[in-house]
Amino acid sequence: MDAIVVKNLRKEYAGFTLRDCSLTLPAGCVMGLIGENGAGKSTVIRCLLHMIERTAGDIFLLGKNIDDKDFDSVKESVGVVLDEAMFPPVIHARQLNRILKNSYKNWEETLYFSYLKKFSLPEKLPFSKYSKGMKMKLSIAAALSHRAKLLILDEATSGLDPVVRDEILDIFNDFTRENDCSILISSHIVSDLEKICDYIAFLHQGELLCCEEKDRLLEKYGLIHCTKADFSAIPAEAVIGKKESPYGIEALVLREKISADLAVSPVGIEDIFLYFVKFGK
Amino acid sequence: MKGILIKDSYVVWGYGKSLFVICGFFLLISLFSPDVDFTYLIGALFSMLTVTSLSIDERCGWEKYANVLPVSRKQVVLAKYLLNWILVAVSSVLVSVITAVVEYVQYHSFPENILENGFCMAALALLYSALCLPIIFRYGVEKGRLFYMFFMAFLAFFMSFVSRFLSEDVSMLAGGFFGVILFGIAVVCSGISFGLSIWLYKKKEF
Repeated sequence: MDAIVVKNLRKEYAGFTLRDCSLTLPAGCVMGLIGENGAGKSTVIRCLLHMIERTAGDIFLLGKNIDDKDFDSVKESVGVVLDEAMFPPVIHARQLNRILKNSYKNWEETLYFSYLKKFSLPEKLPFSKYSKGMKMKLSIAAALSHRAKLLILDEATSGLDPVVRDEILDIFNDFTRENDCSILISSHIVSDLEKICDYIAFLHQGELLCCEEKDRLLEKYGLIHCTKADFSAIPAEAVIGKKESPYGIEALVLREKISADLAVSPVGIEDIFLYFVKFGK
Repeated sequence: MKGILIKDSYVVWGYGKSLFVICGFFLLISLFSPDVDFTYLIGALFSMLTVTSLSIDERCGWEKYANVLPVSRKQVVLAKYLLNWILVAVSSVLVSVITAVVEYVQYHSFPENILENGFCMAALALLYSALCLPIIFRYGVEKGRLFYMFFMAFLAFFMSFVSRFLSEDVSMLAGGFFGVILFGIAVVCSGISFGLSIWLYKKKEF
């Protein structure tokens, strides 16, 4: 069973349209949503969570259509961390445990308190006194403590220092190893996504540019550095984007469409995204 | 939904516990100043706690977070109305007790119309929330409060106009059951308001 299936999703706002976005996240995998500010990442996530009404398209989470009347029961198995922590300022972590214990049937109190300890979160300090990083950690602890099968994370690692981010990425990695659990994560920190994702989806100005396995992307594309004269010999369909400088041309190319004589260097996800969006043809 | 109600109880207690101190303060003043009546103010403060809790939910983002919990939007609305009904009941009882204590201390007797006053107060608190909550659920707290102020200004103007032509005491016309009748009307309005809030909240985007 696929964790997420999105078919021809469309959402129209005044001045912005998310166009025909289709993606599939197989169970047990991690998908990263990459895109500049306003590309539509949060719109996709808000549509998935039924926070906004979509204009068109179908969405299935854990095999269930989100329009189904009994979809609320599926939310038991979906952990969510939104771009900011959203708990009332007067409550503390111990009270949050009581709130969520009475909201989720599968709430695991012991696991929740072990995360509080792991993240060094004080149990009785009001939420208003938490730092931004602590707030995000509490949200993550809450999302991980009800035996979710799917995690949806919208900029969940933003505001965290590199050490904590690395620690949390390890926790996310462990999460997917257990019983086919899946993660959809959007982030501006592409290096984080590169570390944990199996699939990458590029969004740009409301359009899904590509959605592929990360390893396949890294195999498929490469960087070449050459002179203008050498560049003119490369078939146009092989070039995704190029960057010109006084020293020559750097270009992202499809490896299979260029001559084997040309030296092609490996490329990272961040570069692929930049060439798609910023230096595209 | 139980989880949401527990959350609301923490929030209301966190922000509203000072109200009990205010109640004690009003009780003291009323004991020594027979002409001063603060009781309706206490009712108003309590009935505004539901709006305050909605305002906090809006500011901290809980209303978005509630969408990811395994509860329906109908249950989110129901939790707020339940909170409101509980607060109205608590404030009405509290005001009635304060009134009875003050009367007993001052005149060594209990007020005859204590029940009617309690019903009147509960009715006004219910009407206030019945009016505000649907607007707040759809358009947010600020617009809800603005709408309420405009409505009250219109009501004041309308009542001053109507009162010129009404010489009889409406309470007398109701044969002493004015409070109960008003309360009945308020309960119906609250029910209609609840249905309307569900309908409007289902359309809200976060």
